Amino acid sequence: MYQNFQYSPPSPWATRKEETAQESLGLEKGFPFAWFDIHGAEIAEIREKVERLERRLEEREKQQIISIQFLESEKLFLKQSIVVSLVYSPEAELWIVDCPELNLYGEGEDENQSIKDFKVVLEEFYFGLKKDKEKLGVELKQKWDILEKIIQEK
Amino acid sequence: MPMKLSEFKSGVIGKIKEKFKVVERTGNHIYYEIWYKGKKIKETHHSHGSGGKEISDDILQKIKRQLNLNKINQLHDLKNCPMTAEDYFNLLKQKNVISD
Repeated sequence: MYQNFQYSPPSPWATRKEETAQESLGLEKGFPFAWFDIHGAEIAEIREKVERLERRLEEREKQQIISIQFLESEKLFLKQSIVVSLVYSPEAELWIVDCPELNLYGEGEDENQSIKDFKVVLEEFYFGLKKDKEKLGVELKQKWDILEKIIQEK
Repeated sequence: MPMKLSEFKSGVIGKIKEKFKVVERTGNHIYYEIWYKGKKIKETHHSHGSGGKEISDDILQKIKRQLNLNKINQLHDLKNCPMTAEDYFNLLKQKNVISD
């Protein structure tokens, strides 16, 4: 049985040549179309946007909602607590306390510093509005009305 | 894109000054009061820092909101000129922050 087996190499004169992988793709004949990377820049831009959104989402997940119960002030005290968000900004390498309702923010190298900073900003904002309370535009008048409700002078 | 404090002061606040009265108040931070026709209409602030210190995008986001702008890019536009003081005035008018 084994004696019947004979290896015969492909003849150089054979009509059907064995194809290499490259040949079977037709590359040896020259591709009829030129390939342009027209979407590369768009893909890179979209990828960058997705990465940015992912980062924002991560940051949003890390966001804490906290309540400011008192001011460390000699002149003012809070009649009611203020709800703010506390988030770390990797870009700024800062913690940021934000109160969109009052349109105020505080910043600091750690959570405590950013909360303290927010309290300082709130106090300075309060006295800044108080000195001009008769001359406030619509928006700042609204803020002043809120401040009068939540803050009392000692 | 972050912005240098000096660029914010000269570019953004400088541009707003072309149309509005801006009063600078200094405390623990630097405050800018924007006045129009005898009314204080806006206030924004940033922390003290040397001229080279930058305001990060996250802080610019808050400043943008305080100034009633729609996008951070508009802060850069104010600084770099495509947005004029008149454009900012019209934006505030559109948002009923000011009236003629």
